[in-house]
Amino acid sequence: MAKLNSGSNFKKTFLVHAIILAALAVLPLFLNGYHQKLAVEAIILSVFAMSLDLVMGYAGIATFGHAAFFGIGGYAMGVMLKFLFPSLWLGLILAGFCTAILAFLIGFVSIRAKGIYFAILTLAFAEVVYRIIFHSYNTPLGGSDGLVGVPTPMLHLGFFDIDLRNTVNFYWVAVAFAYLSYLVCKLIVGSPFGSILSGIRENENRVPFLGFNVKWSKVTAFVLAGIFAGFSGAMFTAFKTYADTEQLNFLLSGKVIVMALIGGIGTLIGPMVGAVVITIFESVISTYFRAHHLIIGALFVIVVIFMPKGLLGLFARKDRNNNGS
Amino acid sequence: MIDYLIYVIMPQVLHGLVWGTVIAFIALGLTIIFGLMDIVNFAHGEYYMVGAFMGYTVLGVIPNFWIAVPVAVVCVAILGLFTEYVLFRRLYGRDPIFHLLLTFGLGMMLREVAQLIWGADTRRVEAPVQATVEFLGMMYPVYRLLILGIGICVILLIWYVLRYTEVGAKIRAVAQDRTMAWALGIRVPLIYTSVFMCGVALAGFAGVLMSPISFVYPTMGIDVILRAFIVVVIGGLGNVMGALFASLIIGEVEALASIWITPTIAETLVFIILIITMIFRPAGLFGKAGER
Repeated sequence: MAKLNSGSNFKKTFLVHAIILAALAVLPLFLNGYHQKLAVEAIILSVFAMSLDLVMGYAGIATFGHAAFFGIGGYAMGVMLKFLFPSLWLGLILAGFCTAILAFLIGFVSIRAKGIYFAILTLAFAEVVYRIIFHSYNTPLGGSDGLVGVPTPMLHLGFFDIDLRNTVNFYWVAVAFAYLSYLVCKLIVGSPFGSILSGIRENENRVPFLGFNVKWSKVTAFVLAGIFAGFSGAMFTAFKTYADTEQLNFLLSGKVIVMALIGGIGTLIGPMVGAVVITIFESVISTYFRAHHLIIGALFVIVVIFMPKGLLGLFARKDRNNNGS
Repeated sequence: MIDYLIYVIMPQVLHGLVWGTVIAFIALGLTIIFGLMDIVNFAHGEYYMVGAFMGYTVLGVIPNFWIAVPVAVVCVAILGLFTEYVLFRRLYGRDPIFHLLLTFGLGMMLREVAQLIWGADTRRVEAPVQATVEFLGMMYPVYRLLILGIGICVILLIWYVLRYTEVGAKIRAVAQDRTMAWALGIRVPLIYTSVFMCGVALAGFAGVLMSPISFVYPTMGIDVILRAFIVVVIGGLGNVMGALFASLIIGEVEALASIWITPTIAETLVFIILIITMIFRPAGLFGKAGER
């Protein structure tokens, strides 16, 4: 397993991370307002796609309702900022809390079903969540109109505050958020728990013989993935200043799987790249074509047929061999 | 009390039967295609939508519903042939998740194409039979009873073909063990293609039959496909009898529940039934435990 600080690779890894972060940090200075906004969205969505990788790429269980966590995280942040207390931290905590509970419930129930049954069951759960919120007209959630007018908060960092209404500031916060999430997920998949997950993916029936509980490991992975999806949704709402039912829709659940697949699942960084690529691609073609869903649908089809290992598939395989995993 | 039964409950029971039949059409195609070739066809609802739009288009040229129906069904079957031959063939033997994603993208494309051709407006098709008939003391539209009749005939026909004909025996053989079936000289790819065509044609048939009752619009497939999926999963993926049984239950539950609660909550109830079923029978009501 590729650990973050494994001996001789440490310097190289550190250098690569530093260069990427520096490049990301100066990027908004070369972009106009529209593209800055797009970059923030892409970076926030990259965390969403990465969270899916925890459960799909490492534990090897395909979920088709991941948007539920993204959406609920978004609504939690919206409720916190609009009605309770305008603090990004509290919003993130509430989002993590809500999605953890939701993911635990869904995961605990669904995990009995295997393979495609699990995928459809998670889809059904996500649809229930979607429908409940969609029809919640006379509540503060706003039903199909969405939760609009969420104020953008200040980010309190103890000794100084960051004004998130400035897109560039939000961009830097989003980069920091994505990088921290990546590091935490990297630690998770590099830990003994991550090895159990890979074991489940490779051969579920043998893991119990080694003394590990498959069910609870799967549920834990599902909850962790849900929490990170919730964080990502929360950041998305804080940035967009609204939460709506599009963020809960099963179309988004499908899209995030394709994002992860395009990047290459089981690599963490792959789905992040995939999310960025798809978000930018979607934005570019939607400015040129009215029927941009046609092209995105075609892209899905092409990805599934021709490159199930994703863009980074080739590199990732080489990398893994080097580390002897 | 009797009045309540006749004027409130009975029409809903009939509505539920008709709705259940239409779901069964779609669910049968889905479940047979899955049982045979392990394809989870997320785009199945789009074939239903294409069927409805084809019927609508043909009706614009030749105003006769009974000509529009076969033409639409044939068009959908040709579309099915094309998509199976060009796309699905490349994925045989891969994990069903890939099929789910492939058909997810295909569904997006078909919806967008339909929107480009026919626009996003909802359209309405006139029912070929406007009459109502007195039935157990209440008035009921003949057309709905007609759908029910056609549905029962088609379902019986499918059951007969699968159970008692040589083709049916071949299909069941391939579903059980494709390698062995191939070794015995059954042309597996041919069976795959023809079953896929029939499955989606059935969805198209349902679409054109439903077009006078529900509206015709590009996203009409999504509403139906989610329900059909639920039915298929409750019945056990690949299980024909299970799908039929579950279609009736879901149709009735939805129709009867909407007497007392709003239809939108009744829809949610369907999902809750699925979840409860999956908790107690993770492979569906009629599925064997340990199945995928």
